[in-house]
Amino acid sequence: MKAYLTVSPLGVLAVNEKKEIILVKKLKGDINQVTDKFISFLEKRTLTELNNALEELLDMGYREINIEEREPVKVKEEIKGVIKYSIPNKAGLLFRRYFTALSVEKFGFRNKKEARRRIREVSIRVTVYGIKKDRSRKDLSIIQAIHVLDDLEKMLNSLFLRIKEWYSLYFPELFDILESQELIIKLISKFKKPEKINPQTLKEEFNLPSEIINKIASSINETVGAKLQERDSEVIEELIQEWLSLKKCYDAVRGYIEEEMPKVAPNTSSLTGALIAARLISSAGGLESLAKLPSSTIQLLGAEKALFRFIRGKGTPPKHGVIYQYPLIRKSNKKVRGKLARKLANKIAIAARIDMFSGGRGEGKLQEKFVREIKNIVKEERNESNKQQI
Amino acid sequence: MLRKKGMKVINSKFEGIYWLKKGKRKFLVTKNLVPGFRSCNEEIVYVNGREYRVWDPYRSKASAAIHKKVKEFPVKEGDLILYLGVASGTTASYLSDIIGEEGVIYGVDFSASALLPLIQIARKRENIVPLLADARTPSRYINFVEEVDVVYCDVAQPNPTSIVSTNSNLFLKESGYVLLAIKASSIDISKKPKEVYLEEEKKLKETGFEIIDSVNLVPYHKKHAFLLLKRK
Repeated sequence: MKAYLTVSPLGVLAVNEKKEIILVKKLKGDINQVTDKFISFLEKRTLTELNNALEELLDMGYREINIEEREPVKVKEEIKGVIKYSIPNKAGLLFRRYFTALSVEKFGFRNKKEARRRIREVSIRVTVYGIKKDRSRKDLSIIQAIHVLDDLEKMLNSLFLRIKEWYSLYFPELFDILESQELIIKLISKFKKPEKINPQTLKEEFNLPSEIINKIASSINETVGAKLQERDSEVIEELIQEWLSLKKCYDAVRGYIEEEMPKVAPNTSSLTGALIAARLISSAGGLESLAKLPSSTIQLLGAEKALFRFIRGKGTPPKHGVIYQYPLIRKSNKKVRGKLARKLANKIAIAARIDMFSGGRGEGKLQEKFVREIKNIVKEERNESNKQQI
Repeated sequence: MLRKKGMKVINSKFEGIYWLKKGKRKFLVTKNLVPGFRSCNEEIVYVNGREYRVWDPYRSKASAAIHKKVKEFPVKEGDLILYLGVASGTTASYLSDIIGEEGVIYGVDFSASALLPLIQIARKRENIVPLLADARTPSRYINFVEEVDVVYCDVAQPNPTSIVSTNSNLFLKESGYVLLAIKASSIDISKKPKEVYLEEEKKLKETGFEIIDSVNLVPYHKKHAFLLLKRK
């Protein structure tokens, strides 16, 4: 004999081949207990009432029980053999069609409104639980951090540009001699005015090579800049303090990403570096989404604009998106970048899947292998392109 | 803000949906089921002691479809609706006004962050059941949903036809309707929207739907069409 069974927040309902109701099990307890039971059913696939119902059906002589679920439920070993799964089944169809009558007559609710209230309350709580669970994903905070990092970088650059243009009125040569933004800012902050720059301090505090110190010293004498007034110097100092505090913030966020990424996605981040891995996760919308993407899509993450422009029939197809920032790709010959990007994307796809679905297993040897392989590929490509050039 | 003077509410072609006339301008409105509560920052107007909510066609595809003179709008008082791709619940809140306390909207969406505002709305509106699940896998919400009168589908997915047909087979009454918003750029970005609509309509017919009406939502929503379907 076959039985059909369906589970809902009201309880368990079973019918026989002729769609006659053979068993009803209400979910016991108040709304909180029912919700907890239902969450554990959805998550862990166990439910006391369901187990009891299955045992009773066995006792009643049913030897095939069809449950309206897709994922198997956890039951005792001896029951497993008789259970089958299908969506929809007879019990579910009956329950959904005659919900109003069944909820009153079989599940003992006063009216359909009360039964629906039960469904709604459980669904709200289950949904809130789901949202909370989703928000506790570690990759979400990584995504936030990488967004902040990119914005901070833009702010730092534009503020530096302003400081540079302003200070160029007084000592334009400085920006031709030194390149590092941080060094220039610290130097200005230390000496305030160009004429106060002291070669001795430059050597002791900034550890600059004597060649550069000489250049700076000689250009102070020959500068085309105007004299920096006290008032201007004060305002520039304010800007510089702002830049330094933004920089501190930037370093903190970057440190956070570099520290957390190896925990969230060890293989991906050791393969590409924490920042690129974080950008990939951010473009994909999460580690899980990244792990489910084909490598061809990973290759072009971040190049959506160019891709869609190409699909619409304008321009050439993009070769790489975010992964362009990978040093070996960025630095190599334009001709081989596409190939490299494709191969790196393949590896990222593998790494992300390991990180997501096998809990970061293989960390260590695997990453070395990836990097070595990619470096070999780069070497080969370079040799090839050298040959072609000859 | 709309000024009170000279406003008049008249019935539209459809149950529970009204036109608010103010001089030459007219606005689609519904009666607020929860007076005093704004669900989505919409404009609220009071006429003859009743509270109405303005249903902006630029924010809701259903409202746009009514503005573009869809033949029928099958949502009425007491209906049960399965809403796939409910998102923040803007459209759902207006449907909730129409179906009233006796109806139910099962709102399915798979984006947790999109559902946040809906939770707040569902706590106030007792006829909305929020469900965090993917419309492509009905097994995740099959435990909660009854047979419904209307399946409303507004998902940005490449295969709306298969989503609508699996869900209709499981949850739609024999005599039920399907309201389907099609986003051309989610299906095929390289084709012209009109080609995409025609192809999708053909697929729907092959899957066993009868197309009662199809409206293009331009200018309210670019590259979107709205279909009214019934099972053959």
